Amino acid sequence: MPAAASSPDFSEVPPPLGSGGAGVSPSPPPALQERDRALLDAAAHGDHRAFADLYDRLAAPVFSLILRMVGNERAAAEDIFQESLLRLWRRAPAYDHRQSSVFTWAVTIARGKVIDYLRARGRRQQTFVETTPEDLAPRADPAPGADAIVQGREEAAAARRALGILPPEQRQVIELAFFGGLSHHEIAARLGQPLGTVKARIRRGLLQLRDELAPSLPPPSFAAPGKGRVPLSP
Amino acid sequence: MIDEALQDQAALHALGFLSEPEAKAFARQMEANPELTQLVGSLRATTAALAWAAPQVSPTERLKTDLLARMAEPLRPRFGGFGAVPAWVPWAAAALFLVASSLLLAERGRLRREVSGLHGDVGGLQQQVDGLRGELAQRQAAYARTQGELVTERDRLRGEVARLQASDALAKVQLRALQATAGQQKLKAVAVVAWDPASQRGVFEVQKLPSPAPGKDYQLWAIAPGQPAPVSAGVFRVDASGRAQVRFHPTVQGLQQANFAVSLEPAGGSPKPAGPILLLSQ
Repeated sequence: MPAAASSPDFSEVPPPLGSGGAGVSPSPPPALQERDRALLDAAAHGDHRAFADLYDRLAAPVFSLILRMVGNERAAAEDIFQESLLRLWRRAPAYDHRQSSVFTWAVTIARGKVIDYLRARGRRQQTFVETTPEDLAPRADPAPGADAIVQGREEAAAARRALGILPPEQRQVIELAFFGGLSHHEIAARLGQPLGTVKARIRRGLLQLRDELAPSLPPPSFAAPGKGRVPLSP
Repeated sequence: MIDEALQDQAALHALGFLSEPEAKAFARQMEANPELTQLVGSLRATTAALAWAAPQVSPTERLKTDLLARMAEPLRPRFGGFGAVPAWVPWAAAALFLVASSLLLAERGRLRREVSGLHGDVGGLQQQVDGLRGELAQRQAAYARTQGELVTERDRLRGEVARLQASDALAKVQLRALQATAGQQKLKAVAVVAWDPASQRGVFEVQKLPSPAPGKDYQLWAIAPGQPAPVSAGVFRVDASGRAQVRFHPTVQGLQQANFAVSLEPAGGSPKPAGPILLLSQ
């Protein structure tokens, strides 16, 4: 790990404002993306405070995702969460912003950890809990920090709304794939549907989600992967 | 333009569902296709944003404290290094390794000697086997010789037995000489009967018996105890010199210690002696 460096000065970074309440699409948060990147860059140089700040930004969505994927087993979720964040800290020097946002990278790492955990226990089929209409309804979830509270509420509302818009058959396969960690083969087997149908539903669902979430997603500025770049797999 | 099949692959890649070979092949396609790379990036960001759709739950403060504490720890080697164990443990492990190596070397030497000894034993056993094989061949040859000798001896004994049986059979044959009866003193004829009571067969031979008168035949009779009357043994004819030899087998069985007689009967013979008795055994 590189020697500790001083925390970056965030005074020049515009604060992530946005009044978005339930049902309102959040404004594009390039400033927040830049802030995450600066924090991770500082963490890559050993800045614990910067990583602690980044932790505050990522903790709620990443932990919530893990908890959902492991079927609300809190102890398992806490272990996986800690290992995921520790991996993010240790691999921070290898981060390449051209491939993904910090948030995407963190979620990818956490999701990979959960899938490994579920595979090791053969529990992917059992732990998945389907989304109920109540889950998709706008809500006020607790999240630490003023920025995170505001931004988190907006992004959570946008994600739930987008997921709720999907046709049920597309939402089902997307949830099984993303939250259940089931591969397309496993989904086809579980639902008794042709593999091609499942793949098509995943594609259509993700493309529609992308279009719905476009305002809140990071700009498409990723470079093609090449040698020396960080693979997105955790 | 990205076709639907490629979009399918992009979606699966964004979800991390491609196998390692598939992912590598897809990465090569991405290198050559910026539009595809952009699609994958946007789909990855989209899937990551779904994390917000889960019911939001904040981790406890303790988790953050623990994480920050672990971040301060020196990085441990991935496969269990010595960072978290006392300093003497690696030295102890090295010493243990040396001791174990020495023991294994000593054991290896012992096993080599043992194997060498076993090789010697095998050689000795092979010699014994060769010797036993030679002995077996000799014994088989001796057996073959003995078997041949036994066959020869068996055949010889069979011949001897046959000879003895023949002599024994001959001993049982009864010989009867027939002479002219008191009223036939002018006859010069001599006759003999060899009679085997076991087979109830006999041979009759006569010499110097004149030919019978026309309309007459000589008839041989067996006279045995227990028989109420003489039993016919057949009619015979003599040649010009007065000789005749016939084999006979009386129809009545059970003739033991028999005497024999020759009578002159009407041509063709009689059921009972009707003519004069010419010859009679004693």
